[in-house]
Amino acid sequence: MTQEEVRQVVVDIIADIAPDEDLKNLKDDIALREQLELDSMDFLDIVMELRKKYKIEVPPEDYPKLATLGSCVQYLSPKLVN
Amino acid sequence: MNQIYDVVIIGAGMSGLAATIRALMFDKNVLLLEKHSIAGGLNSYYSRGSRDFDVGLHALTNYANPKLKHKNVNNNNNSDNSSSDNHSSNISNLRANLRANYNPNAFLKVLRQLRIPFDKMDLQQQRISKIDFAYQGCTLKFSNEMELLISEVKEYFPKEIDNFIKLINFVVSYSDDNLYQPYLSAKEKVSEIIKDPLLLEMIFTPLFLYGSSWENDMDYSQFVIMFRSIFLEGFSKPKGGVRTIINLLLSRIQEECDKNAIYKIEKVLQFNKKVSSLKLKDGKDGKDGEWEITLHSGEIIQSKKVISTIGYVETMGLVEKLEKEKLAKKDSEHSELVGNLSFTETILILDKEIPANYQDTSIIFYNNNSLNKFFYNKPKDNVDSNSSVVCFPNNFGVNSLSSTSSSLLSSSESMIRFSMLANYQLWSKYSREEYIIEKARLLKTSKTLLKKLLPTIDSGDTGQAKIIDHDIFTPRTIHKYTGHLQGSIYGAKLKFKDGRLPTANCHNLFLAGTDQGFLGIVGALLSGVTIANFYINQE
Ligand SMILES: Cc1cc2nc3c(=O)[nH]c(=O)nc-3n(C[C@H](O)[C@H](O)[C@H](O)COP(=O)(O)OP(=O)(O)OC[C@H]3O[C@@H](n4cnc5c(N)ncnc54)[C@H](O)[C@@H]3O)c2cc1C
Repeated sequence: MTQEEVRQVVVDIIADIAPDEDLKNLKDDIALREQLELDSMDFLDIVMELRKKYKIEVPPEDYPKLATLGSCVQYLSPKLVN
Repeated sequence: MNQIYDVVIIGAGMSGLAATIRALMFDKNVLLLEKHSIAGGLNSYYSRGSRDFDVGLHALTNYANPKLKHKNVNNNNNSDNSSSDNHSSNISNLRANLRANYNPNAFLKVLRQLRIPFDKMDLQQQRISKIDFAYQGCTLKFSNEMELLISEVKEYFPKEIDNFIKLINFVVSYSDDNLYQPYLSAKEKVSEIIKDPLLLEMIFTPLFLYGSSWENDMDYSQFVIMFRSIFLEGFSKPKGGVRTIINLLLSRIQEECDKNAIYKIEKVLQFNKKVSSLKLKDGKDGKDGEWEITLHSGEIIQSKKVISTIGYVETMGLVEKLEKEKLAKKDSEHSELVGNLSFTETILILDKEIPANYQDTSIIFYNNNSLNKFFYNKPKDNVDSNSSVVCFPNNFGVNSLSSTSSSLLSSSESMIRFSMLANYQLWSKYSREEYIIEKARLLKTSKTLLKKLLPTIDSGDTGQAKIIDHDIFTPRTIHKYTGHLQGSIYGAKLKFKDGRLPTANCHNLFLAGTDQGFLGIVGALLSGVTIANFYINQE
């Protein structure tokens, strides 16, 4: 997947979880939590969807790597090769 | 009896339905058991004749519109700064505090976790609600805009307005980390801030009625939750009543089942299945084994985990070994664990719309006690005829004169509901004949109150609305249909906020719903979601 596609994977998951949020103007370098009303329960749902849709396991110690869209792309790109 | 479930959930009320959706989302092999033939529990629905009724839904608390973030905060950017008086600057400080500290609304949080789009709830907001202390001749109005209550307090309790704003600031800044602290008397804590005893009583009245399992007091953290959910967020109601909520929950269960070929909804969600005992089997090497769940029919089910939503004592009653222990307990100890507070509900059907001059009122928290006090306790008589929650289900949503709008009734009819504090022991011991007589007396009490509030109804004058039908249910009905001991609605005084039972031998058995501690419909949904999230994936 290209970086753009990986980014879209994450945005699509967030759109599923928080259908009432406007996701058009998300910044890549600002924490998702600061831009959206996501709390820790929603965050765990992102991890759950990654597992369900893409069979990616994110261990708790790696959660901080999902803080921004940019860091998500960095962390997930190697895992989303095919 | 070959399969072992990951989790069995007991009770298809709001909390059990929510927990089941989450369990399915976690791809768990889940079974939801309900003794009744339909879902909903304390807030189910029924039909009588040609009319549909909700069991309990007056209003949902925690109203928020996801499209207007922090609606309570931003809506009036108007004249505050131009006026220099003290209250206004207090109010703008309050707004700043709200903006900085207010956490996401519990109801939106729950909808998101359950993946139910907000719009599908089809919510109608309350118009105005009133705290009506009739004997004192004092009424405070509030709505989903916090400003109304602030201006009412300013008008009727001018000396208290700064204290009231201080109280709101406390509530807003209260950290959610404190929600798990031990019991602290809210009456004591709030009376340090609010000095006028009448105002104090008035503030507590709706909060007690919609969310206290204690008599005449509540836990301070529960006070904070209720204050936020009623005064800062507010009331609304799905246009289609509680059926809308239950149907949305059921179709989410269906959707999750459709995603996974091995789940069939009729296998996941089973009605007319009453659990009669729970037993923790011994496992290998001295470890605990699975739970063995025996149904009334004799059927036996095995599961690694159990989430019970039927109440603490009710659940302990199912755990075989502990039942004898429980029965040996003295009554006094018991009272901590079985809720004392129950209600009667009188539903009146009018042949016409609510009179025009009363269409602005959604809910009245009525109190007519001469003692400057609202008594929130089990009454000595079978009901407390001095106080009542009076709800006008048609008076929700935008008031466009011709279409008052609850889709439960045909358009010309309307409905008024009265909840009154009631004494379960009295209601439960009446003979059949006495029960009928007492229900008739309750109907009369409700009509007398209606006469005080809306004198034109049923006055016999031509053109005025008439009562054409009624229905009544009592604590006895609530006990019969939901199994809650004493017909208790808010459960035990003691809550188990982490969902764990404080008893040995209860490994992998968790509580959700009423006795976990989040009350009301939104509370029960949140409880189901939270407990499922926390324990279902745990090893
Ligand atoms: C008259 C009335 C008015 C109310 N008004 C409002 C209101 O306006 N707003 C609001 O927010 N809340 C209101 N409530 C409160 C609200 O309905 C409850 O707080 C909420 O529904 C509780 O849900 P729960 O899942 O915790 O419990 P329950 O709904 O009690 O769910 C428990 C379920 O377990 C089932 N069960 C019990 N024993 C067994 C067994 N042995 N085996 C299998 N199943 C079993 C029961 O049948 C029930 O379906 C009202 C309640 C009543 C009664």
